Amino acid sequence: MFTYSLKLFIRQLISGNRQLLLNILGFSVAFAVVLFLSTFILTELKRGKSAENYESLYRLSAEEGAYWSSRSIEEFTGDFPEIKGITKVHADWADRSYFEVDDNQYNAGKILYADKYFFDVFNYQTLVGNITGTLETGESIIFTETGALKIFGGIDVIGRTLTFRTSSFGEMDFKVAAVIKDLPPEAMMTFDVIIPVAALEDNVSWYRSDHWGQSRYEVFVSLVSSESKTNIEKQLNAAFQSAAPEYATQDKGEIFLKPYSTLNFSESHDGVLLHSSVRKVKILGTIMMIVFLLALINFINLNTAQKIKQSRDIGIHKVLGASNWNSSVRIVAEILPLLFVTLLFAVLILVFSLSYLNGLFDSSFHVSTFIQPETLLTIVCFSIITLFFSTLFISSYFYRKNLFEVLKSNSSGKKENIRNALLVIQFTLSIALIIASLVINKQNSFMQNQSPGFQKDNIVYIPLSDQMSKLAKTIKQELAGISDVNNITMASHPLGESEMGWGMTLNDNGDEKRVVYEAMLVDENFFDFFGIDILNGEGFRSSSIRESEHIFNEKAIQTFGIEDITKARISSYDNATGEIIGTVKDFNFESLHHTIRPIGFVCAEPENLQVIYLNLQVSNGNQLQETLQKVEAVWNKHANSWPFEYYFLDNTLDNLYKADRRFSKVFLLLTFLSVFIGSLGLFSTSVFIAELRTKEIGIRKVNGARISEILAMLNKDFVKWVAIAFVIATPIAYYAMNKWLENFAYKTGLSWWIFALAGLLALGIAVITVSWQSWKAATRNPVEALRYE
Amino acid sequence: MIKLSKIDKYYDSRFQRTFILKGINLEVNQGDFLTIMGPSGAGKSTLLNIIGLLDEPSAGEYYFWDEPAHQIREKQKVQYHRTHIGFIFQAFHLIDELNVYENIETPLIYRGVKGKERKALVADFLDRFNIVAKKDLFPSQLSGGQQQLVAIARAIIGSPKLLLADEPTGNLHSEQGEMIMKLLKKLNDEGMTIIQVTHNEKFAQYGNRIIRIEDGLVRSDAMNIALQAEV
Ligand SMILES: Nc1ncnc2c1ncn2[C@@H]1O[C@H](COP(=O)(O)OP(=O)(O)OP(=O)(O)O)[C@@H](O)[C@H]1O
Ligand SMILES: [Mg+2]
Repeated sequence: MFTYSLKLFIRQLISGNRQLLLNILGFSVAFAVVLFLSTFILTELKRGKSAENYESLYRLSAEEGAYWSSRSIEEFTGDFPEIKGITKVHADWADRSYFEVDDNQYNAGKILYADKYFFDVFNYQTLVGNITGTLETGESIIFTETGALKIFGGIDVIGRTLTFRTSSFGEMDFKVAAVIKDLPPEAMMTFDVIIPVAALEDNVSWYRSDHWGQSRYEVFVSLVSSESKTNIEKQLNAAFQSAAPEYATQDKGEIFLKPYSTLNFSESHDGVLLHSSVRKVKILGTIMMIVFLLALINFINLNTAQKIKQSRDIGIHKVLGASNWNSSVRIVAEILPLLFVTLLFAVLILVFSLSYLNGLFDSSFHVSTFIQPETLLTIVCFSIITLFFSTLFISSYFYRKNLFEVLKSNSSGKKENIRNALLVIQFTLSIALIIASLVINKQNSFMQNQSPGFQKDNIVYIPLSDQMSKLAKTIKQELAGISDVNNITMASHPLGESEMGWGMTLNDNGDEKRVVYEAMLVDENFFDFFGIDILNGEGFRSSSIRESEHIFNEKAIQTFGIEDITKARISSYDNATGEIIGTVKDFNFESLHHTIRPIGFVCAEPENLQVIYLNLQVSNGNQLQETLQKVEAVWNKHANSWPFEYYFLDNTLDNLYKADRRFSKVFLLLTFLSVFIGSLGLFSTSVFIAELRTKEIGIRKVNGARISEILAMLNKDFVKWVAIAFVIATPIAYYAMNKWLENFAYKTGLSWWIFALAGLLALGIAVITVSWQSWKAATRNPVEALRYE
Repeated sequence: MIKLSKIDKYYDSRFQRTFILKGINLEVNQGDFLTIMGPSGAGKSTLLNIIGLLDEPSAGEYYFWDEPAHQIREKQKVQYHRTHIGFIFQAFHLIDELNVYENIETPLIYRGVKGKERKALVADFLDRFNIVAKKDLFPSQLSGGQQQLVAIARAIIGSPKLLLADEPTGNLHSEQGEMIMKLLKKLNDEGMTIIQVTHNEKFAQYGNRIIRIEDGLVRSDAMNIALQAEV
C-alpha cells in the first residue's frame, strides 16, 4: 500500500508541480531556521555545562561582586583538603595587544591570563607539547589550535619564541609550550591564547600588589565533591573574616560558591566568561516557533489544496475500497518524501549560508556542530509534528460519511473556515513581527542618536602604553603645538568604557560612610574640552591639587546625600583625603542601556593618565590625514617602535550599541524570512482559489465583468483577513514590545505610526502576492477559462 | 438481500423541499439482473448511489445484505466496497493520475490480491476487452467509449457480488454494447447480482426484471416476460 502511494507521489513530483516546489522551498527555509536557531539556543543553554567537571566547579563570589585581589585569594589557597584546585584568571583589558614573530605583527586574539593552578581546575586536550607546569614560570605561552594557526600557520610550534606587546603591560618574550584543541562552540570560557599571570608579576611592577582592594581576578574553585560545597563556603568565610575582618565585612560581604553551570545566565560584565542572555534565548526561541508555525500552516494548506483538487480521485479510491486508513497512509506516503526532500534542501541552505549566519549571530558553528544528538532529536520532533498535523488536517477533509459528496465536490465548503483561520494566524504573526522589528529599530536609532551630554564629534583619542604615560606631559605639549589640534585633554580611560568602580569613605560633615562610584582621572581641561557644564564651583584649574580634588556629578551628590560639598571629604586612592570642589551636570558616560550612575572625577597628573584626547580641525579628509600624520610623527619620536593607533570617539561610542545592532539585524532577517514564508503560503492559496474559481471568472467575463472587478473580487477576501489579523496583532505586539522596552533605561515610545506602517506593509505584501495570481486569472481569455473545466 | 422500503431522497433549498425519490419500495434478490429505466432526471443514478452505499436516503429504511444501512459502520462499509459492490459510473470516474492498467488494477490492490495474481487477472481483462494496446495510456488520452470499457473492466475485475451499472453502454457502438451486455449476462448466470440503468430498450431486455421510474416514483415493476418466454 505504502509503495503504491509513493509511486503516485513520485509521479507527481516528476511532472514538475510548481506548488510542490514552492512548498518545498518555503518549508526548507523554515527548517534551516529551526536547525540553526535550535542549535544556537542549545549551545547557549549548554554553556554552563561546557566544562567536563562542571558539577563540582564553582566561581568564588561574594555579595559585592565576583572579582578578587591577589591578596584575598592567598587566604583561600591554604589548607582545604576538599578543594581540588583554585585558580585566578582575568581577561585582557588592553586597548591593543599583539604578537611579534620575525618582525611580523599579529593581532593577539582573545587572551586569558591564568595562574599556575589553572589546569588543576580546567581540563583541556593537548594537541602538541605539555601543559603541566607550563604556567608556573612566566616564560611559557599556550595557544589553541586556531590561535597557533593564525600566527604560525601550523601547530608544530613548540619552542618557537615570540614577543608579546600590550598597551597595558608593555613588552614580554614567550616560548610556545603547548597547543590545545580548539574549544567547542558552547564553551563558556573562551580564549585563543593563555598567558601566565606569573609573567605579569615578573615584568610589570605595578601589577604586583598586596592591596586587599585590587580586585582584578575571577576565581574558580574545583571541589573534590559537590557535597562539600556548604561546608567549604563556611570555611572560606571564616578564613577571610579572620584575615581581613573589616574588608571582608564592608567591601565583600558573605562569600559563596556559585555553580559553574549557572554562570552563563548570571548578570555580569565582560569577564572571562561568555554570557548568554535569557531574554535573547527566549526571543529567539519564540521566533523559531513562529517561523515553524508559519511554515507548518503553509505545508498543511498547500497539501490540503493539492488533495482537494484530487478530491474526486480520493472519492473514487474510496468507492473502490480504500478505507480512511488507506487514505491516511497515502497522505503520509506523500508527505514523508516531501519532508525528506525539504530537510535535504534545508541542510543545503544552511551549509551555504553558514558563514553569513555565523557572522550575523557571532557564533562559530561548523557543519559538524549540527550533527549532535540534541539537534537530530529536534529535527525528528519537528518532522513528526509536521507529519502528524498535516495528516490530521488533510484527512479531516476526506473523512466524511457521504462518499457521494466527496465524489462530486470540488471545493469543500465549511472547511474553508479552517483555511481562513490559518491564514489569519499567519498574517497576525507576520504583522506582529514587523511591528517588533520596527520598534527594535526605532529603539536602536534612538539610543545611537541621543546626545550623551558631551561633545563627541571630531575627537580622536590615543591610548598610551604604561611606559609612555611617563612621558605624557611632553607628548601632550608637543601635540598641543600642532596647528590643527584645537584642544587637548587627558583621562584615565575612554568615555563610554567604565572600568574603575571605587569604594571609598565619605566624611560628610562628620558622618562617615562607604560610597561606591565610578571613578575617572582627568586633567584640568577635561570638562571644558567636552563641553560639560559645571554647576557648582569653577572646575579644575591648573592650580588644582592633583590626586586630591574631586568633582562629582549631580547623581552622586544626590545619592550620597551631601548637603554642602565644602564640608565633605572623600578618601582617595592611596588613602589621601580629598576635597570635593564642585559638581557637574549629569551626562551619559556609559551606553544608554544604563541610567546615569554616580561618577567622581579626580584631577590627576598626566603621568597617571592613559588616554590623550584631541579635538581636531576637520574641514576635509585631506586635512584630517595631514593632521594625523603630524600626530603620528610626535608619537614615533617617543614611542620606541610601539605602533601608533588612534580611535574616533564617536566610533567608540557607536560600538557600545554593536550588540543591539546585531540583534536588530538578526530580528530583521528572521522577520523577513517569516514574511517570505507567509507570502509563499499566501501565493499558493491564491493560486488554489483562482483555480477553483476559473470557471466562475470565465463566465463572469463572458457576461461583461471588467478585469478590475474580477481583481477586486479575488482580492477582497484577503484584504479582510489582513484587517482582522491587524486587529489581533496590534495589542499582542503592543504588550510584547512594551515589555521588551522595559529592559532599557532610556526608551523610545511606541508611536502609532509603527503599527500603521506594519499594517500597511502587511497589506501591501498581501495584495501584491495575491494580485500576481489574480491578475493572471482575471486576464485569461474567457473561452480558455471555460474550456479549462 | 437488498430491500428498500419507503425510501425518500430530497434536497432542501431555502424555501422548498425537492423530492428526487419518493416512497421507493424495492426488493432485489440474489442472482437478480434488474434493469432500471426512466427519463432523464428521474432519480435513477440517485437510487443506484443509495443502493451502493455512496449516498444516504433522507427517509425510509434500506437493508443491504439484510443489514440496516444506517447501522453499517464505516469500517464495514469499506469492506463492502472492497468485496461486495462493483460500480460502473455514468461519468466513468476513472482516476486521472493512473493509466489504464493501474485503473483496472486498483480494486484488486484494495482487496489485497497478491501481485502475481493481480498481474495475470489484469492481463486477462485487458485482453478480453481488447485494450491491451492502450494499457499505458491515461484516461485523458482515451475516447469516451474506451474510457467506458476501462470503467467496466475495473468494476467487475474484483468479481463483486453486486454490480451497479449506470448506463454501462451509453458511449459504446451497438456491437460493443452487445458484447458488454452478453458479458454481464454471463456474469449474472455465474451468480453475480446486477442492477443496471439504461435508456436502451434492447439492452434492457437482458435483465430478468425491469422497473420504470418517473418523478421519483416506481411506475412499473415487472418480470421480464420476453426473457421468460425465451427461456
Ligand atoms: N445536490 C443536489 N441538489 C439538488 N438536486 C439534485 C442534487 N443532485 C441531484 N439532484 C437532482 O436529482 C434529480 C435526479 O438526478 P439523477 O442523477 O438521479 O437523475 P438520472 O435519473 O440518473 O438522470 P439521467 O438519466 O440523466 O442520468 C435531478 O433532477 C437532479 O437535478
Ligand atoms: Mg443518471
